[in-house]
This record gives sequence, structure tokens and C-alpha cells, in this order.
Amino acid sequence: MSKPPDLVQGTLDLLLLKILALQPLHGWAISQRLTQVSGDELQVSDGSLYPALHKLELAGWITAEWKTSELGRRAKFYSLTRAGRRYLGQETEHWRRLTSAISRVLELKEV
Amino acid sequence: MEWRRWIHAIPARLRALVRSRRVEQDLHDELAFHVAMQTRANEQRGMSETEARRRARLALGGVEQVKERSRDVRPLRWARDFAQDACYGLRGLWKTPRFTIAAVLTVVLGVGANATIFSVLNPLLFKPLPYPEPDRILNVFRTSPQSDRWPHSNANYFDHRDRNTVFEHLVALTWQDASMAEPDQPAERLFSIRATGNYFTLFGDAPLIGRTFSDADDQPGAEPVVVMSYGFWQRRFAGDPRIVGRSLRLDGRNATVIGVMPQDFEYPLFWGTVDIWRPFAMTTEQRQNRGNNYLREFGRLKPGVSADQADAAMKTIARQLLAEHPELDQRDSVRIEGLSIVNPTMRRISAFAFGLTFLVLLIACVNLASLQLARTAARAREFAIRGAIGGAKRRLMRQSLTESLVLSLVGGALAIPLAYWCTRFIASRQFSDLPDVRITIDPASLAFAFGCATLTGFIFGAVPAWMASRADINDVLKQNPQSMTSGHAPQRFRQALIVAEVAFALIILAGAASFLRGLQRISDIDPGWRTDGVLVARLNLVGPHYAQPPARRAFFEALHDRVAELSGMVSVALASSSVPTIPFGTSTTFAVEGRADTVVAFNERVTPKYFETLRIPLRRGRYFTIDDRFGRTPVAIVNETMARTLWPTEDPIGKRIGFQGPNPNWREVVGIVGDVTFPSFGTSANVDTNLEMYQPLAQTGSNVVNIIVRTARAPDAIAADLRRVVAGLDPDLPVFGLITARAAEEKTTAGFRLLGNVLGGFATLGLVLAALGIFAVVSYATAQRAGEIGMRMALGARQSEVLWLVLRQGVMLTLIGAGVGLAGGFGLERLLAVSMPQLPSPEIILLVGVAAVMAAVALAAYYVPARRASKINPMMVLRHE
Repeated sequence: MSKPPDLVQGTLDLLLLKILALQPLHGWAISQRLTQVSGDELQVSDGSLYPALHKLELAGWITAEWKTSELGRRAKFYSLTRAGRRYLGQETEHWRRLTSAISRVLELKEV
Repeated sequence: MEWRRWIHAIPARLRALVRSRRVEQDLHDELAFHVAMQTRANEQRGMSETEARRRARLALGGVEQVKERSRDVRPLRWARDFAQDACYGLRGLWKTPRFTIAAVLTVVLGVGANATIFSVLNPLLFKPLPYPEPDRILNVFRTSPQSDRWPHSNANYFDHRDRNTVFEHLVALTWQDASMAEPDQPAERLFSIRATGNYFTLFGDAPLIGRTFSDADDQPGAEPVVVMSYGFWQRRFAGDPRIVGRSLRLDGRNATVIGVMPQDFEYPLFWGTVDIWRPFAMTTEQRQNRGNNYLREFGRLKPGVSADQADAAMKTIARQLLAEHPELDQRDSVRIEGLSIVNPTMRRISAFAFGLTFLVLLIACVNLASLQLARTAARAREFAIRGAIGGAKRRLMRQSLTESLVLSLVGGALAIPLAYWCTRFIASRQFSDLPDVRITIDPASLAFAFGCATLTGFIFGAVPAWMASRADINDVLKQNPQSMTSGHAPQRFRQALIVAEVAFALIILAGAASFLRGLQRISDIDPGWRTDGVLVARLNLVGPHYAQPPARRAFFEALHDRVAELSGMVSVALASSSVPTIPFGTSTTFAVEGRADTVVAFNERVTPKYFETLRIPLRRGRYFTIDDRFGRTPVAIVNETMARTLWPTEDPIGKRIGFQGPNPNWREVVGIVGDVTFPSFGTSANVDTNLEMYQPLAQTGSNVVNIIVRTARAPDAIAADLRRVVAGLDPDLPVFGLITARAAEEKTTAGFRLLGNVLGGFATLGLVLAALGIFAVVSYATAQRAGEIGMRMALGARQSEVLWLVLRQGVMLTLIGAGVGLAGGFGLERLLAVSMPQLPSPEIILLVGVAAVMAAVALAAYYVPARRASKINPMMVLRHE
């Protein structure tokens, strides 16, 4: 299997925010959800996940809380803050503009 | 709305900063939870429990590595790391007290020595003078074949001032002691500067109270005014705020106090202690005097003018003046020199001392490096394990550096009290020619000490850290831990350390020894007179009633007779200069009858018993007698050198010497006396000439007179008697500067002897440090070779053979070190000879002797561990292996 391309800088943040926008989750569940949603196309190593989450937490986009998980063990649940939600909106818009611009370039026909 | 985001972030950030233990626990729990969940998921896919856990950990990419990366995103990561490393380092140091004590002590001594020398020399070498833009203020000296620091005459000064276009201001000044007589109090001698009206404009400082004098006060016939120094104002008038406007009786005239200068203006290193400043207020006639050279000139450069331009411009003016005034010595010129508080000799010597002390610090660094090397070996396994479980190499190196820094900063902090104490001690001994040197530990010294400590920490921490980080983890873990420091490169490094110890210590020893030996040889020189039992005191004849020579002569005669009547006087004399511990005060250009050229000779005016009092031997002819009075044939006595120089083949007795110009006033030589030599270093260092001529005081006169007596009585009793005698003659005249000749002699060399002793102390310190360092390295190296040595002995090697095995290397390294050190020592000799030409030329035998001492000490440091190695019990060692 060839190595999947690295995520574009900053896109992991966007994905994490998006996933957390739907519901608060703990780290392992986020990792599961990422694989589930994106299939094998976007591989995020579990090792990169946690530093990224902590960075978002320190930036104030997400907040964390220790709660009992579905299996009765205590787990750290992350949820989006209001600032994070707005940031996600901005970034999503930004991403759309970026991808559509890139697409337009790539669709140029050679003469 | 941005702030909301920050509010959300605050708890997380605060936790990261303040409750780091809690954060670490959270991180651990979170990752453990992840692994547990993933393991469960893997098990559900049918893996065995062990495999499931292994896979889960693998997917995460290593728990510790994730933790490290997660820590990286936290704020102030480096600060927390440093604190952590420092704590860890301190704990480690606590656990190895022998290493810690040795290392800290080394830092304390090395840094302490340097901080002390820095505190002593800082005010001399580096502190800027307390005037605005001091680097634009220049000395203007007159030069002649005899000296390049001559003063100027009044007329030349005014011509310099009016013709130059390079200086904004050109000031002239001179020292002129004042006598102050307040009602009902004994007359007091004040340290006074006479200056031109623009003095305060040039040195640019506002008065504390009142005003300073200006050109208006410097006009002929202006009301006498005086500006006081802060120190004098406090000492004599208790800081009386109404002092301005008061009248002081100075030199028999009243002068009005117009202002007081702030405390730091009285910069003692530069001026000495000043009590008062007065304007010259020269008469028109005085302004035209071109014959009497006594003024020092200072100029402040105009903006945009360089010192070289000023030098060229002033030389041009000097040439013009020579052309206009053929009576001037046509070999004269001028030169400018930057303002400095110490003379160039002193400056170079100080730099020399500084360099030697820095070598002590280098030895300390080498010692620490070797101590650290031994310790690194002991910790090799620890480092390897930490590397294996994910400690980044960079991080491990930083750990090692942090430890050295902690160590050296602790040492540096402890060095400060030591430096403080040493500095106090040195300050209490003082430099003779620099009264009131303010030697203190100031912020600059502290900064310097910590700079030294930090530098030490980096130097001795970096190398072992680098070696530790290079070691192959597998090697270390598998084999014995010593492998990482017994390889080829580390062994070379160790040998280099020993060579460096020997070389550095030898250089310091050689430098200090040459300096001390030079001082000793200078003081061994026969001065040509005897100090024992001689006492000197000084008088200034100032004021209107001594204006005429007859009045002065009458006073001298009365003074001489009254002093001679005192009990216990062996011999009494009056002279124009003090005892010859410093060069005579006046030198004059003389013409010699029958010769076209002129000579510069000291011109000392004395009473008949002068030579007997100082025990200056008569070589030919006669001493002065009471009959060599005013009105009789003018006579002179010359020293042997002058007689030999002027009349190498003829009999000097009966030859005549006089002044240049149309009125020579010929004096007949009646006697030849032995040479008086002055210590050729110390205060002014420049001896103008070695020709000495004496004239009877009764035929010449002087404003200053020194009472020189040879007596068996105690100085204190004599002092009281002298004061009584002088007060009986004139209550307005203060007697000052009473000192025994021996004390005066010691004073001139005190600074240099102190410096010599300090250097000697530091050289000893360097020697001891080097010996300890060698001992530590060799002990460690032999301990490492214990196995090999044990094996050799088990195979039949004798004790002496083992001893030689270790010593052989010692002899070789010591020889190399001594070679390098000797080369450095020779270089230093050259440097010393250049910086202090007065020192006698170096003695090779001294260097060789010093090298022998160094080698003996180094080999002794080798011998102790070598002997211990030879006492190894082979069975013990082999069993341990």
C-alpha cells in the first residue's frame, strides 16, 4: 500500500473541529470516527491526534471535560466552544474557496 | 469576540503552567484510555490480548513519544524544561556530594579570583570618566627629547587657545595648594586646582548649589572667587547650605565661595582629591610669560574633528611658535593623548594582571571538564537508557548543559562573597598613587562574575555532553559502561586536559614570578641615600608677605635654626623637593660654559646639611657651607653622572653652569656627589633626566620647602614640635605631608607590590587547581584501567612496573605541557617587557626554575593515583570484572 498523502497543513484541525461540531467525543472515538468517515483516503496516525487536540484546547477552540464513558471508564471528552464553532464556519468557508480555486485551475484545458 | 476564545483557553493554559503534575496525569490517563479502547477493539477482531495491546501501542507510535509531542504544544515549554532539568540536576548533584563540592569549589575560586580582579581594575580600565562625551576631551602635552608629557607656559597656552580651530574649548590648569586660615584654628592646607575660566564649560558639570566660575572671574583684578568640592564642603562646613557668599581666608587673602560641585565631579582617580577650584585671574604680564612651563592643557574637540586632525593642527601651531620665538627649545613639539585616569604603564600592567587571572578561570574550566568527564562515564548507562526510551539527543545534551550551568551558577553565587571580601581587603591596602580609589563590588562586577560563571558552565558542560550524546546506545547497554569514555577520542581529550592544566598553570606562574622578581630587583637597586631615621614635612610659602625673595630667605634661615634647636636632631636640612622616593620636583634646561648645546638637569635647592642628612656621599670637592650665602659666588654641586657626561676628561670642579640666554648667571661647580636614583615606576614613571644638580637654597629660594630631619626620636613627637615651631614663625602656614622616608618609599611601590602579591596568590591558586585537576583525571583513568592493571599483576607484573606504566604517560604529558607553558611564558615575558620597560630583563633561570616546580607538582599529582593503582589487589579486581 502506498503511503497516503500527508494532510494539508491545518486540515487536521478542520476535520477535528467538524467531527466535534456534531457531538462531544473522547480521543479514541474521534480517531474511530475519522477512519470511518474518510475511509483510507485520510489516514491520521493516533500519535498525531492527541497533540493536535491539545493544541486546539490551548487555543480555546475546544474544551475538555472528564466524564464516564460508555464502558464505565473515565475518559476525556472534547467539545466545541462557541468561538470554535465560529472558527469552524470561517475555516470551512475558507477551505471551500481554496478548493474551488484549485479545482478551477486544474480544470483548465490544455490548448 | 476574540476574547471569549481566550477565556476558554485560560483554564487549559493555566493548568499547563501551574498544575503541570495534574496535566501530566491527565495526559497519561487519556493515552491509557486510548490504548485500552484500541486493545479491546483489536481483541474483538480476534487478536490475542498481548497482540492486541502491542498493536494498539504501535498504532499510537509509542506512548512516550506522543507525550513528548503533546508537551511541545504547551506554552513556555523551554522554561519548564529548564526548571525540570535544573531540579533534576540539583538532585543529581546532591546525590554525588564529592563531585559537587570539588566542582563548586573550583568555580568559586576561579570566578572569585576573576571577579576580584575585575572589581579592582574596572574603575581603572573600563569605567567611562564622568564628563559628557569624555572621549572628545584630550590632553595636550608638550614633547621634548626628554619626555612626551611636559606642561606648557602661560603665553604658549594663550597662543594655542587663540590660534587653534580644532577645539571647542581649550583649558589650562595647574595644581596649586592653598593655605586656609580660619580664625582661632590652625592653618590648613587645601588641595586646590587653578584653572582658566572655561574649565567648567569644558568638563561640563552643573554646580550642586550656587554657580561655577566663568571667563569674567578669570580677568586680571577680578574679585577672588572659589568653588568647593562636595567632599570639602561636607568635611569642613558640614554641608552648610548657606555657604555660598561666605568669605574664606586663602593664602592671606579673602575669596568668596560662589558654588559647590556635585559629589561625582570630584573624580578621585583622575584629579586626586580636590578641595577647591579657583580661576587664575592672570595679569597681562603673567600672560606673556613664555619661560615657566607648568600648565596642563585639555581640549574638547569640535564636532566632526578627529583626534588625528587635532594633533596635526596643534603641531603646526607649535612649529609657528618655535619660529616666532627662537628662545624656545627648538626640539619641542606638542602631542595629544586621550583622557585616561591611569598612565599607560599602569593600564598595560592592569591588562596583564587581568590576562593572568583569566588563565586561572581557564584552569578551573579544564578541571571542571575533567570532573564532568568522569561523572559522565559513571552516568553513561543512565543516559543510554534515557535515550533508548525516547529521550531526544538534543534534550539529553541540554540536560547535561543545564546541570553544568546550575553548578557554575551556584559556584558563581558563592564566589560573590569571596570576591567581596578579597576586594575589601585590597581596597583597604590601596594603591599609593591613586588616593580614595573607589574599589567596590558594583553591578558591573556582579555581571562579570555571572558572565564568567555562565561561560565556565558552557565550556565544561558542552564537551562531555557532546561525548555522551555521541556514544552508541547499544554499545553502552550491552558492554560495560566505561566504553564510552575510554575510546580513542576521549583518551586524547583527557590527555589534552592534562597538557592544558600544566601549560596554563606554568604560564601564570612564569608571569607572576617574573613580575615579582622584577619588583624585587628594582627595590634592590641602591637609591644612593639612606631612609632610616629620616622624616619629612612640607610647607608652602604663600601670601603677600613672602612675595619678595629676601622675606623667604629670612624665613628659611629662622626655620632652619629653630628646627635644629629641637631636641634629638641628628641633622636638619631644608630642600625644594621631598625625599627622593619620587623624582625631584624641578628640572631645568641649563647652558654649560664652553659648550654650544644645553642639558636638562634636575634643579634641587638645598641647605648645607642636606647631603649629610640623607647620607648622600661626597665624591670630590666639598659640600655647601653656611658661607654659600646670597651675594657670594654662586655655587653648584652635581652628581657623578652629570660630571661624567659634561666633563668626561676634565676636572669638573671650577667649571661653570648657567641659564640659557643672555643672562646665564654662571654657577661654579664646587663638589660632586653620588647619584640618587628614583624608583622608576609608580606614580609618574617618567624620569626626565638622570643629571642632578644642587644649588644652595640661600642663593636661590623656593616657594615650597621641605623640612628633612634625621633623628632618633618618634615621628609623632617630632610632628608636634615642628607644628609648634612653624606656628611660632607664622600662624597662617600649615605643616603638612609629614611622613617618614621609609613610609614614603613604601608608598611609591605599594600599588605594584600589592599587585605582585595578588598575582602571586593567583599563581599559587592556579598551581593548586591544576594539581587537583591532574589528580582527578589520573585517578579516574587508573580506576578505569583497574581491570587491565589487575590482569597484568596477576600475570606477574611487579608493583614498580605498574607504577611506571602510569607515570610514563604522566612524564610525557607533563613535558609537553611544560613545553607549551614555557613557550607561553616566554611570550608573556616579551609582553611584560613591552608593557613595563622599567622592569629588568627577564631571567631564563627563573623560567626554568618555575617550570621545574610545575613539573614536580604535576608529577606528584600523578604519583599518588599511580601508587594507588600499583597497590591493587588483582584478585579483587578480576573477581569484580
